[in-house]
Amino acid sequence: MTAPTPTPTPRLRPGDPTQLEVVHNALSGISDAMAVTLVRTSRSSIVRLGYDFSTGLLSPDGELVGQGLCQPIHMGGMPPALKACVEHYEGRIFPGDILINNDPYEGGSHLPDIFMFRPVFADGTLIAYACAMSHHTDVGGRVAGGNSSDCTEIYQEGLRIPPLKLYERGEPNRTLFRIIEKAVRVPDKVLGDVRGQVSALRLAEEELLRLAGRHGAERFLELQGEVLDYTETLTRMRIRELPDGAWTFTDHVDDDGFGCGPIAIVANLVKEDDEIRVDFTGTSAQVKGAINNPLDSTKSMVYAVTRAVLGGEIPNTGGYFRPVTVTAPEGTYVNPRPPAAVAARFLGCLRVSHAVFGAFAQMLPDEVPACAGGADGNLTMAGYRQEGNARKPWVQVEGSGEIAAGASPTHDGIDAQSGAVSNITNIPAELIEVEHPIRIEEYSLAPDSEGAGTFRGGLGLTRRHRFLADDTLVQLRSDRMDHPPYGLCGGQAGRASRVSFARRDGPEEPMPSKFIVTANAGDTLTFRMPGGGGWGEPLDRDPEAVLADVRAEKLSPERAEAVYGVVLAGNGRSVDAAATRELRTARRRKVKERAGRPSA
Amino acid sequence: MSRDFDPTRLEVMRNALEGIADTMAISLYQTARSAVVRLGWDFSTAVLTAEGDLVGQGMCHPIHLGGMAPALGGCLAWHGDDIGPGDLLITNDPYEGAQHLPDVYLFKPVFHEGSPLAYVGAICHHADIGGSVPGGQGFANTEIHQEGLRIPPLKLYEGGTANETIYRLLEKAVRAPETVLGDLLAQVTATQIGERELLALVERTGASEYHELVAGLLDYTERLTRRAIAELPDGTWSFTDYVDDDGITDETITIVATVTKTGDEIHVGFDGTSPQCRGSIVGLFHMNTNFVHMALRCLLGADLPSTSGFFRPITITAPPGCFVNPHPPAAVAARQLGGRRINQAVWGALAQMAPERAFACPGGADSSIAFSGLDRSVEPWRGWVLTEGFNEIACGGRPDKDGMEGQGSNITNQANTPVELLELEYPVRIDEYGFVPDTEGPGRYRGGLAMSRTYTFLDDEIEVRIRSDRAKRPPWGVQGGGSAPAARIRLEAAAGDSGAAHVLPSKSTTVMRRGDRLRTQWCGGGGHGSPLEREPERVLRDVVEEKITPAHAREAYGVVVDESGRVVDRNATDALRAAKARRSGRAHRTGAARATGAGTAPGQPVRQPTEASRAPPEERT
Repeated sequence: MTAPTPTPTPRLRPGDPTQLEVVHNALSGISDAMAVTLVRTSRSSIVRLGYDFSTGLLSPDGELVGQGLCQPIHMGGMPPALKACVEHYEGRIFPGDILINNDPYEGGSHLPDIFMFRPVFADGTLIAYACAMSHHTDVGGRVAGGNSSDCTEIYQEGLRIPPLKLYERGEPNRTLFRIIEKAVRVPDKVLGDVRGQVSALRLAEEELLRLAGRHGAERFLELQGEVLDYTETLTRMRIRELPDGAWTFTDHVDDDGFGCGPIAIVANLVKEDDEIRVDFTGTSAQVKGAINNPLDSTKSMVYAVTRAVLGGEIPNTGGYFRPVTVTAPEGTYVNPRPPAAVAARFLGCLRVSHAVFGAFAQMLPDEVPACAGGADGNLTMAGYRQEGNARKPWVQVEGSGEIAAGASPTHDGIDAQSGAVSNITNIPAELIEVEHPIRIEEYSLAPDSEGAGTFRGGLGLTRRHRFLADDTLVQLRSDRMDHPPYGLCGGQAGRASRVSFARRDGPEEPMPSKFIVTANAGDTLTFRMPGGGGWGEPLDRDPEAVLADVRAEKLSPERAEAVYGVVLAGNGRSVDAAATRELRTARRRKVKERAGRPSA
Repeated sequence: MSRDFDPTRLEVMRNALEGIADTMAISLYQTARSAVVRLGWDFSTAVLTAEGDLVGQGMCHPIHLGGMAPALGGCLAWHGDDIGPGDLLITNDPYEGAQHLPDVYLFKPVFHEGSPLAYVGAICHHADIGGSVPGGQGFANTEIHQEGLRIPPLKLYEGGTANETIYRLLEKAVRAPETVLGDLLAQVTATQIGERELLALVERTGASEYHELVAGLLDYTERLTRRAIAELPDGTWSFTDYVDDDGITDETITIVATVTKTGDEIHVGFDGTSPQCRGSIVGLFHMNTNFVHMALRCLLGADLPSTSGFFRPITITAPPGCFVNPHPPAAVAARQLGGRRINQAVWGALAQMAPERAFACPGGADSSIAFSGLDRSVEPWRGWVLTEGFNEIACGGRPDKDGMEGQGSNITNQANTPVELLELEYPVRIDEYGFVPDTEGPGRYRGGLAMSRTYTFLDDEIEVRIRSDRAKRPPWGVQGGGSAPAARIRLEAAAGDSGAAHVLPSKSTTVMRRGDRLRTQWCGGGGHGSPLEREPERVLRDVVEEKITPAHAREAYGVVVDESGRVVDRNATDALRAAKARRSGRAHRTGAARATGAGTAPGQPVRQPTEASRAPPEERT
């Protein structure tokens, strides 16, 4: 590794840095205001409470110039989704239009994510696009919720909306509204959320026109360019500080639910001067199940991880993407060919992020945390309620992606925490119970689920659902049973995921990570999710920290002794320092001996 | 109602309208791209009044006869007065009058001098419509949302301008967009031709005479229908037929059809029918009424005009929530299976009402097979879908003739897809396609023979979805005729693969590998009359033609053929038949002989329908 080269002076376009900062903050502020509008006006719990949406602003060229306080995973998703719309409607984009797209093969992510864009014109000049993207509760298709991992073609996954106009010159596209209404199981929620997106876009237009009015359209366009260039310059500066070199890390998805696996994701990271390249050569071929990761989602994940690693004060704009190149061979898991199914691609997204984090951890062993916990799960429950002669459908989608942070080189991982690439929150048990025939019987931190280390990973969660109605569709997509979240620098992996299902009054039967069952009243599903990976040797962990975990009932005394070599005294109220020292020394000696022995 | 017209002019008008519908049909057939339309003939064309009554239908599918009016009704209810020249209405939504999602209806309003004159309609069964399974006919769907792109009443063209949204959504939703959009454009063309021809007709007749004659034609159809009904005896007859299962559970589905005839009206009710099932093998009430109308149309005579006037003297009721009248959002993709059985149950009741006209139950297995895969030899990979509807393929025995073999059914005119074409276009080889000896329902006039097919698959990952029935409850005979053997589907894994050959259930989805062999054998038709009364020479001819074996001739017909295989042994035959008649007489006295197949008919007709069964379905509880 070479020493960092001296940092060059940022090359900025001529302009007033104060004005630049004000405009940058204004763009972010408008994006945040859109986010608040979206939350306030949407109808579904996944948007209102789960925060599974994003808002942003893009330049007339389609580069991201401002992002709301939303999902990092969506950050890279807006430009390709807009690009496909603009290419289709080249020369036919008018004031009052709203472009819409959810097609994974035209820049979208998966079908439930519906992107909507408003072109904003000031005096006939296109000055920006506003974007509102929501994850919708249902999008039709074979399995309610549109997230199922066991579809094998995009055609099964629901309504596919290629680049189209939802509004043209202010006139609604009644055809599309009607078709959405008929395609989805819960049209009041989906159309309610669509209208929430429309409101957010209208708000953005008003605010953008006010902002552009202060600077004049021409200057406003220049300022957007300056924000982008400034971001690029800062990004390149930060990249330049990193060591040059090439690193590779492989993480795995257990299987695709159709017996295809393990699926290797190989992230090859190259850093050269002020550029970063991530290539996925060596990654497994695309799979039959719907957990494939379209290339734009793969890129999005690389951007999000790079952003997390570079940190600092770099603005969230498209200038940030410029020095980062992502490539993947076609036909692989991270760049599938149509008509591969992709509905549950979030699982793949998370694993791509883990692989890329792993590669960065080789580059920066003292900065990058171990793998986040969780089983990349997504649980959909759906059924029908009889109301007179009508059967009224209900759908509940719970994303429980990463639910424990991995340990960092300096701190324990946070327990029950959303991960680095998504800010999805949980939906309160009380609300689920009020709205749906489900009872949450357990929701707790799982003791001993952490990846042990000098700094331990966060604890995973245990969640038990009891179903209160017959004929409830339960579809779980999860992973990490065979390949738990990895530790780093001697830290251990988090505990592997476990799922069980019990018929009413029956025993708990172990389940695979991906399945669909029809549950009846009284049946229960128990999901025990992995904790985050640990960092550094567990034997080096501060015995007092181990004691604190035991006293907080996060760790059993048995595990404290077996894994951390910490012997407790006084009925588990203090550390037996002498016994601990002795035990740890003996353990270390044993490890050394084993390492010294010639391998068979 | 009884306006009098010059019968010649009326007949000319009737033929002109049917001629226009036929012209549309030929145009559609010649311009379509899919095998299901070009070769399977699964489409229909029609002329309707401005109010939505059917006044002329092309030489297409009887099953679509009743489909046009409710589908157009759904469009008119949605669009109201907002319909103008250059519009083209589209729908495939079962919950707004259409059938199942693969059936896409187009209706073109025809204006004459600014006033609405008529509608011309074209419906195609499309090769795919997206959704859970290729071909859009998955039996295991439980909700409409799984079945593909649902197009509620909308406009495909407005004032002559194409609705880009629908075209784009269709293109992305379906697995074979070139085929589907090609067929859709063929439909568009057919409606344009229909409009042109209709306007040419009105040029000759003038608008007012056109309207009068069309109204007259509807009334005329009604009068003929009432007259045909009046000729039948009054009374009530009931018949029960069964569907093996819905492919999701094993439960038998019972369909009880009760036909009540009073004067010149007929009522068909379905009290006693099983509750709706989970799977998608049954349609909504308006679709099922079609299958009832078709049974009556068969009985009432071939020369009735195909217009909405036919429907007027017929009422149909079914309790809400039963198999014949399911609640939403029931899935309906494979609705033809249940519809056929409903048709056959009604037919069983009619066979008691008019035994001199009625044939035995048609054979087949109500089957449809969809094959799909990916052509990986091209870039990008191209999906392919092949749907084959096989229909009855064997008629039941008739009062005076044997049932025909290798036929379309009484309710569809679908044709098979030629083996050569299948093999050319798709990675399958047909190793066998023929009649299976000894599979007829024996009778004085026997049913047609069953057909079998053996496919060898020439590529991996070919998904095969079979939706069929009659594996447990085979087609029944009438008047003492026997039932045919049950259907049977056998899968033989490729050489070298583990797993012995095994029998597949009637409804299944299997992923085939290169070299796997699938053999389907559907059912023959039921027999008409006692097999012991069949002329021995006819039995001999069947033996000579290898349609039945000498052993079967002896066993089922009591006919002994000598060793040459060319001569009936008269004495042995007489003795054997006498012995069989004695045994059968004993069985008859213990009450075991009448139920000759799946269907059960009580010996005496039930008298007097209850009041409840005459009320419309909405008012029933």
